[in-house]
Amino acid sequence: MRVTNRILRLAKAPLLQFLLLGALIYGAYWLYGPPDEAAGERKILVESSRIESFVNQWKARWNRLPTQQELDGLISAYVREEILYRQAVAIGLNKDDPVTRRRMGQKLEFLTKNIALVVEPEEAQLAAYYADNLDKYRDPDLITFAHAFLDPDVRDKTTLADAEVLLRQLRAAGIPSPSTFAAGDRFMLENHYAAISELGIRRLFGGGFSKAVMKLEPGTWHGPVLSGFGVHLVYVYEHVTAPAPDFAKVRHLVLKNWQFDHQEKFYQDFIDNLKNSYEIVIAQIPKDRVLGGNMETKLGPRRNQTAAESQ
Amino acid sequence: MRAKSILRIVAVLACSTAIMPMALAAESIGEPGRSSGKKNPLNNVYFGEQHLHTSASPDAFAFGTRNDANDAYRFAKGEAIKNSQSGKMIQKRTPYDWAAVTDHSEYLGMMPLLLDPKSPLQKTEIGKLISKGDKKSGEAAFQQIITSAATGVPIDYLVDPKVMKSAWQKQVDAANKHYEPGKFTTLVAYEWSSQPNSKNLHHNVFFRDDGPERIFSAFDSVHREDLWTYQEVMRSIGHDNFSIPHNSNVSNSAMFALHTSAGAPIDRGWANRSALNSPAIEIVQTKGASETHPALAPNDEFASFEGKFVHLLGSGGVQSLIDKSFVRHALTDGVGFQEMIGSNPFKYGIVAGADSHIAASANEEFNYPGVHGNIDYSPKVRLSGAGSVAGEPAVLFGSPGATGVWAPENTREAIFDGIKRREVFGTSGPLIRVRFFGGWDFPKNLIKDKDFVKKAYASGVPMGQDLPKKASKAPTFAVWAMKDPESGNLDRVQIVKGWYDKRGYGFQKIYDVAWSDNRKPDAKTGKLPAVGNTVDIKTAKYTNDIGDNQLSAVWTDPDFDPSQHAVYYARVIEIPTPRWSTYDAVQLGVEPPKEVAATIQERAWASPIWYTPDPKLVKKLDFYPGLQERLPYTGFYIGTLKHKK
Repeated sequence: MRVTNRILRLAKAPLLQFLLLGALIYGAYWLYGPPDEAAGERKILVESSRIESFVNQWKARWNRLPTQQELDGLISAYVREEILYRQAVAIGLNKDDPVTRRRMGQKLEFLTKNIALVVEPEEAQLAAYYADNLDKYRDPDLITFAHAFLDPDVRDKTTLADAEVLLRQLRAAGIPSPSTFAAGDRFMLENHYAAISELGIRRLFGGGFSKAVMKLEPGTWHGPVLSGFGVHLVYVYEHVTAPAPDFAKVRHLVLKNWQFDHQEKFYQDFIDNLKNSYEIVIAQIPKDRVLGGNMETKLGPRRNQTAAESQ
Repeated sequence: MRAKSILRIVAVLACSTAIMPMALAAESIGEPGRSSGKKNPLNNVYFGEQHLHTSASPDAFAFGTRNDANDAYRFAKGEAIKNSQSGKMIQKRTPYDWAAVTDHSEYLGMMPLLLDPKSPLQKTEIGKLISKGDKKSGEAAFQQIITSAATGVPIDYLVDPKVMKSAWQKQVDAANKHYEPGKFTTLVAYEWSSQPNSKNLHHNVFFRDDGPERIFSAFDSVHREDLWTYQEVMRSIGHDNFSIPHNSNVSNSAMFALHTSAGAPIDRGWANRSALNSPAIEIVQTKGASETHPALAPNDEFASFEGKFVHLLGSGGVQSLIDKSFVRHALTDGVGFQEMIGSNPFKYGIVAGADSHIAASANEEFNYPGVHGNIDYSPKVRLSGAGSVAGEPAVLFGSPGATGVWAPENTREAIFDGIKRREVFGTSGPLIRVRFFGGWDFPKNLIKDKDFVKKAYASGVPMGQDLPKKASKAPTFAVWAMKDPESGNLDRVQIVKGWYDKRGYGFQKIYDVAWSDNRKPDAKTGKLPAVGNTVDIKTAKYTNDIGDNQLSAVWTDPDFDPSQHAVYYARVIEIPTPRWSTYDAVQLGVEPPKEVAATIQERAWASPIWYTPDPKLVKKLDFYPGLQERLPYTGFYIGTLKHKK
C-alpha cells in the first residue's frame, strides 16, 4: 500500500509520467529490494504504522476501535501470513501457480491504470482537449417546434403527395396556428414542443426524426421528415445553442474525461513497450489440435446437447 | 408496393445506427422536461424501470457484476456504461425517464465486504472459502449464501445491523444523487426476496420519500402479511410506500393462492390489506411472462409469449404449478372475491420490468447485453448453452420489460402516485403508449375527437380505476395505442374481460377491438387472421409494411350482465419482430436456437378497469366453487371451511 502511494504521489509530477511507467518495471528491484533477501531474512517486524492501519481499517469497517483481543487476532494473523508467505516464496511455490500469476498480473494492470488516472496533462493540452469536445460540456441545444402528421395507415399511397400539397399550403400560411395542425392527421403526441432537446425529441419520436429536426432551419416549414410513425411537416420557431461553460467551472470534469480517455492508451503503450523488450517465441501448433470449420460447427452440437440435457 | 414502405427506410436506418459510447462528461448533460416543463393535467407517459439488480445484490455480484446503483441510474438516463463482464460499453438507444434500483435486502451489499481482505468477515466460514480464490470454493460460498437467502435462515455474521444500515444508506444516497426533478426520477426501493420452499413470493418495495432507516427482509419474515405490517407501520410514520409482487409464474400456485400464509381462507381484512399495500403486479420480466399460460387460455393464440422459464428457483428442477400462478386468472378470482367477501385481494395495476442482474435496464430487443453477467454477457456465451441460472439456460431468458406511468410531471411524487393509483401499464420492452378509459356514455366517435383525452377523463375513468356508478346498459371502453417509433408496428388491440358467473366460476374472454390493415375476421369463427410476418430470419431484419402506427377504438361490452362482477384490461400486440436470440444468431452466423421462437410479438398491457354491481343486483351464492382450494391433508376447502361432501 505504501509503495503504491509513493508511486501515485510521484506520478503527479507531469514530466515524470512516462518515465514512471518504465520505472514501474525496472524500478521494481529498487523499490522492493532483491527478492531472495526478503524471503531469507529471519526477522518479522510489525511496525507501529502497520498496527495503526489495522486499527483504522477496523474502525472504518465496524465504526469502533478493535478490542485488544481483536487487534491481537489481526496481528497474529498477519504474522502467520507473513511467515507462510516468505516460506512459500523461499521454496518457490509462487512459480507456476496460475492464481498467483494472474493476481500479480492484475496488480500490475491496476497499478498502471491508476497511474494513468492521476497523470495530469499540460494546461494547454487540456484546454485543447476541452475545445475539441465542447459539446460534451455545453448544455444541450433546445428547439421549439411544431409539426403536422400525415398518417400512412390512413393515406396509404397518397401520403407523400399529400405531404407535398400540405407543405405548399403551410408555407403560404406562414407561422403555424392551431388551425394549421387540424390539417394533419390524428396523432397521440403533442403538435407543439417548446424548448426541447434532441434527447427529449428522441424519447418521443425516435432517433432518426430527432436528429433530422435538430438540423432544420428555423422560420419556415420543412418536410417531409420521416419518423417511425410516418410523415411529418415541421416548423422550427427557434434553435438555441447554449453558451459554452466557463472552462474553469468544468475543468475537473474535463480532466476526468481526459484521464479516462487516455487510461486505455497509456495501458496499451505500456504493454506494447514491455512486449518489445521481450523476444517472444511460440511453438508450432499441430493442425489436429485446432477445431476446423466455422462457428456453426462449433456452437451447434454444444447447444443441442444442452437442450437435450435440460429436457 | 404499399406507400407504407417508405417507413421501411426508417426501420433500416434505425437498425444501422451505431451506438456511440458517451464519455463520463454526461453528468453535465440534461434535458428539459416534456414540452415546456409545466404540469400536464391530462398526464404524460413516463417510461422507466421498477426492477433492477446491481453489485449490491449477492447473486448479481456472484455473476460478476461490479457496476453499482450509480452505474444503473446512469445507464437508464442514456449514458454509456462499461459492462463488468464483457468490458464493452453498453448504451440504450432511447433513455428512460425514471428508474428504481431494487437490490435484494438479504445480504444487501455484503459480497464486496466478503471479498475485502481487510474485512473481519474474511475470518468467517464463507469469508475463508472466498479468500481461497479458486472457483470451487467460490461456488461453495455462493451456494451457502443463496441457500440461506432461499430458505430464509440468515447467517448471523452477515446480518450485523450496523453493516446492513450502511449498505442500505448507500442505495438511498445513489438514488438521491441521480434524482433530477423534471428530468430524471429515481425511487428509493429494494426487493423483499421471500421464497419459502422455492415458491417465489418476491415483492419489490418502493418509498415516496428517502425511505426508512431499516428495511424489512425475508430474514425478518417470509410471510407477506408481515411485510404488509411493516409497510403499514412505515406509512404511519410518514414513509408512504407500496410493494409490487413479481414472477408469479414460478410461485408454484403461492402468489395468487386463495388462502393466507397461515392457511386460513382469505377474508375481507386480508383482501383490503393486499389491495392497499400491493397496488400493482409485474406481468413480464426476464424470467418470463406471468399474464397467462397456454394451458389456462387455450383460445388465446398469444398466450405462449416468453413462457419457457418454468422451474422453481433453487429447487433443482421442479416445475412450477400453473394454477393460481398467472395474473389474468388472479384478476378474475379477484372479482369473485369482491362478490363473495366484499373486497378484492388481487386488485392489481400492471407494470413490467427487467430483473436484470447487470445494473442495466436494457429493454431494447435489438440491443440486448444479457441479464446475468457471466452466463450471458456475449452472443457467443448466450447461445452456447454453456451456463445456466437456477438450471435454466441463458437462451430461455426474455429481454427486459418496461413500465409506462401516466403522470402530470416527472417527479418522484408524481411517478410514485401514478403507480399507486394504477394509472400504469407494462410492456415486454418496446415503448408502446396506451391510453385506456372506461365509462358509460362515450360516443362512438370519441376516439376521433381532438379533445378525446380531456373528455374521457371528464366523463369516465382511466386505467386502474373502478367504473363510475352504472349509467347505461353496458360499459364502454376507449383505447388508443401508439407504437414505439424504434420498434415494430401494431397488429391489434384487445380487451380481456374476466368475470364470475351465476354458478360461482371464473371466466375470461378476449375481444379484438382494433386491428391494422383492414383485415376481416373469419366469417365462421370470428377470429381475426394473423397479421403476417416480415422478419427475415437470415438477416434479423423486418419491415413495417404491415401493421399500423396507431390503433384506437371505442368498444362496448356485447356480453355485459349488470349483475356480474367483472374486470377489463387492454392488451396491445405488435407485429412479429426478431427475438434477441435471433439477432445474436445472425451476428454469429448460426441458426437461431431451436428452444425458443425466432420471432416474437411484443406487447403492452394496460391496467384493468373494474365493474362492481349495485349490491341490489347481485344474488350472492352460499358456495363459490371457483374460489375453493382443497388442502390434501385436511379435507377442508379453503375459502369457506366447509367439509368436502
